[in-house]
Amino acid sequence: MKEKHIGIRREIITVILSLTLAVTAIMSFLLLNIQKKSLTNEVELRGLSITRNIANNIADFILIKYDLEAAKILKEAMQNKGVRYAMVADQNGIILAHNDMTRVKTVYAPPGRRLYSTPGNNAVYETESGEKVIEFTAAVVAKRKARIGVAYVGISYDLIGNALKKTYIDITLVTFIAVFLSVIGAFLLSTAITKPIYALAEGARIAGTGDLNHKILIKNRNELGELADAFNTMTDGLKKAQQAEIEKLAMEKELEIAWKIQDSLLPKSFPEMKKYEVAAFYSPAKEIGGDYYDVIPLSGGRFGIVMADVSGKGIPAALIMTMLSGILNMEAAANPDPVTVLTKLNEGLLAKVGGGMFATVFYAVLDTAGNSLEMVSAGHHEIFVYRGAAPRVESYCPKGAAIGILRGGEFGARLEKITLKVETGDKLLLFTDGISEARADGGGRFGMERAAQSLQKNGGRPCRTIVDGLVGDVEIFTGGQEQSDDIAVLSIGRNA
Amino acid sequence: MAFEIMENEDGEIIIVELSGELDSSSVAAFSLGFREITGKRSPKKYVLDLKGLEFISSAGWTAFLNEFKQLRASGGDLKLAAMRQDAKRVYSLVGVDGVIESHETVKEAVKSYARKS
Repeated sequence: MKEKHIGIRREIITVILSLTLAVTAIMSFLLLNIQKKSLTNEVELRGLSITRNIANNIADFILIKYDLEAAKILKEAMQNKGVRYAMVADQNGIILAHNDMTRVKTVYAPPGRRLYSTPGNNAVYETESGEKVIEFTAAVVAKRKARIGVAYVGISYDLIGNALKKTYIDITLVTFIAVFLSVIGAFLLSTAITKPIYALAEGARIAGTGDLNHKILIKNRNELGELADAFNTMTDGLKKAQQAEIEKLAMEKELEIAWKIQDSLLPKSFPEMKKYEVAAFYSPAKEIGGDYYDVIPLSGGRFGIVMADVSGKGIPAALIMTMLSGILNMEAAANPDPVTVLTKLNEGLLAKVGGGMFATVFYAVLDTAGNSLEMVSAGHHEIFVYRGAAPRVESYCPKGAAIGILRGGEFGARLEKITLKVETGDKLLLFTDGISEARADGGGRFGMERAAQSLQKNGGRPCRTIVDGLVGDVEIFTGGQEQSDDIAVLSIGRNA
Repeated sequence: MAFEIMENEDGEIIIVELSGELDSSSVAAFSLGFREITGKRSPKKYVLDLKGLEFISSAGWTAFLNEFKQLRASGGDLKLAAMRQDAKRVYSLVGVDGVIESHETVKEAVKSYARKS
């Protein structure tokens, strides 16, 4: 279940609306105050002007008792908007003239309860009917400066209230428009913010399902656009990492297959060779090089001895090695001469694989009855023979091109066969370039010289010791650095 | 010493200078670098200057053979020059001498192209 969130849209609308209302309220308050002041001012000026007008014109008529004329002036004053009463009273408060003739000769009384004074110092009263009235006064002075009394004019204060009401309505209208516009603005703003967020959320959801090809398209050049760019960069990175992981798994799988092929080809045990003993060692490099060795039992107490190295790595090298092993086993059984075996191997492999590969193969036939060794080499480097009687190490490297490079006669013509007599205590040591080319941490290769020295040191001991001794010497030389090529070592010795 | 690959031109012949050690760990760098050089041109004549190459493993020889085969197939050619003593021994031991021509100096390799054409 999705948890219910308070949407950003709602938050934005609430904030903007609150701000709009606050600003409108402050503005309205200020506006109303100004309006009120200006209206009060206006009413006061008008009231004062009406009152002074009465005071200036009525004095003579009162003096000569022209009551009707006096009343006329007051009635004229009454024509002005909002004027509730107009009168003149003498210093004792006796009304001399009034717009309401019946009030003449009565005593002046304020129009109601006094509330406060205006800034112009005019009193504001509340009448019995609840109306607010401002009373203006002006001294009535006749010619020769004879003071007759005071003119009083009452003007309804509600005039201001009515004028303000109109302002209230205007303000309300403006507020509604402001609210309406701010809601629309907030809506547009929140859409501009939430749309890319929804796009980002959707992108994250899609990426979560494993689809890393989805791109978030946000045109905004703001922080959200930047976030989208970062997100896209992240999915690209994840895609690459995923790809790398897939490739790594594929590579591991390939190496596992190559290793299985390789492992199935290498002998698990060696044939019984009576007075001869055999020992071997094999250690694949991380990328499986394609080294191969074997001791093939042949007829009449003879044995085919093989040490080979296919150039290349992984499954291709392992597959070529499979073919090489198949052809070699078949040809070794069919042909007693090792030169013929390698010539046929070269033809067979070139026919099957064509160019593009090359393998060095050392092949020898050991006659355990006659104690002789016939050896040929297809581009393989030297092999060593430890002579137990001397004791010394001899190095042999029969000439010959690697398998897969030269065709037919050209290959065969280069092959050289070397025949040796094998005496009691003699040991053969064969290996691949994983030994001679093993690299030390600080540079330099193990080389043939060190391999020969190792054999010189251990030659008098069993084949197992010779093999392990050589491997140990290589390990010491490389300082435990990861080996870059397969290492294969084979040793055969005559014990009696 | 790290493996390096550089190209120079001598008329219509491209001289590719290799230095360092060419083994299974640097053979990909050679192939990529060499393909980049050959990819820029229509089939041409190349000389690999091996003077600075201290070591060539079997993977290196395979790479030379493969590049040679590729160039020949597209009408180009490749010759080796200024090989060190160790490399020369393997060159003939493995039989690469039966496939790719080699000369004592780059100059001689360039001259040998002129003789043929």
